[in-house]
Amino acid sequence: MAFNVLVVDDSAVMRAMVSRVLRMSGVPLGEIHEASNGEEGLRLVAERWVDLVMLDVNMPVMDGETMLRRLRAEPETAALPVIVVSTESSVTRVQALEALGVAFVHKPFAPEDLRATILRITGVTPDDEYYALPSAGGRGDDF
Amino acid sequence: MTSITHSPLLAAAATTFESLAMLPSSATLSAAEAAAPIAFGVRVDFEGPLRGRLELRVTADVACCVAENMLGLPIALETDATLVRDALGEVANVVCGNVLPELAGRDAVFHLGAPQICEAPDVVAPSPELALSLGVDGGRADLTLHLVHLHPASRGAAS
Repeated sequence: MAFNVLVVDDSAVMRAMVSRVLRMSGVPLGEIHEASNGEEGLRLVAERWVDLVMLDVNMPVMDGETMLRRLRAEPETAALPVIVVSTESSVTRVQALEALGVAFVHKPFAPEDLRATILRITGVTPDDEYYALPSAGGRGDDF
Repeated sequence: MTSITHSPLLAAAATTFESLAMLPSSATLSAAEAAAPIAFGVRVDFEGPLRGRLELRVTADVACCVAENMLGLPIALETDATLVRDALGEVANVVCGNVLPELAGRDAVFHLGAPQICEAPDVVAPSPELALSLGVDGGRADLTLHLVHLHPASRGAAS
C-alpha cells in the first residue's frame, strides 16, 4: 500500500521539512499534498484520497484543532490517521488533541523521532538501512 | 549586546537549533562569533498569561545554514530571502513555544502570532527580560524576550 499524505502547516519550510522526513522514512508513499491552513486542508481531504495527515496546530484562517474536529465529525474521515506536529506545550491542549485520537510530535523534533511516529502510525516496518536519517552535525552536513 | 545566559531560553534555543536546524550551538562565543554582524531578524508576538514578543537575530551565514539544513537544499541569500526568513520564523516560533511554558507553567495556554520580519535587525529594544547570544558554527544568534507590562489601570479596565 502506498500512503497519500497531506501536510498542513503555514510554514513552507516546515512543510518541506516534514515532506523530506516522509520521503526518507521508508513508508511507501503515493502523493504528498500540501496545505497552508486547516481550510485548505479540509478542501484537499474532500478532493483527494488522503491516508495520513501531518497537522500543525497554530495556523491562520483555520487552526489545526478546528480542522481535526471537523475531520472527526464526518463519518468518512473520523478515523483518518493524524499526526499533530506542533510547538504546543500546554498540557490541557495536548490532552484535548490526544483525546481526538492523534499522535503528537512536539517541535523541535529530531527527524528520527518524527520518522518513528510515522512508522508507528502507518504500521510500516522498513528493513532497508538506506532510510537512515541524518543526525545533528553542523554546517556542511550532506543529506 | 550584553548576553545574559538564562537557562530556559538557552535550553529552548539550543535544542531548537540542534534538532530543527541540525546546528550545534554554544553560549560561549569566540571573538569572531561575538563580533559577527547581524543580518536577519524575526519576531514572534505572543499572548496569554504573559504578553510580549521573542526576537531572533542571526548573522548571514547562520541564516543561510538554518534554511539549508531545514530544507535540505542549497540556499542563496540573494534569491531565497523569503525561504530564509520563513525558516528563521519557524525557529523563533519553536523557541518561543518552548520557553513560554518554562516561564508560565505547563498549564498555560498561549497564542503565538505569525512570525514577522524585524526591519532593522541590528536594533534591539532596550531592557529585554531575557537575552542570550549563541555561537553557531562560526556565526551568531541573538535571542531576546520582551514582556509587555500592562498598567494596573488598563488591567482593571480590561477585566
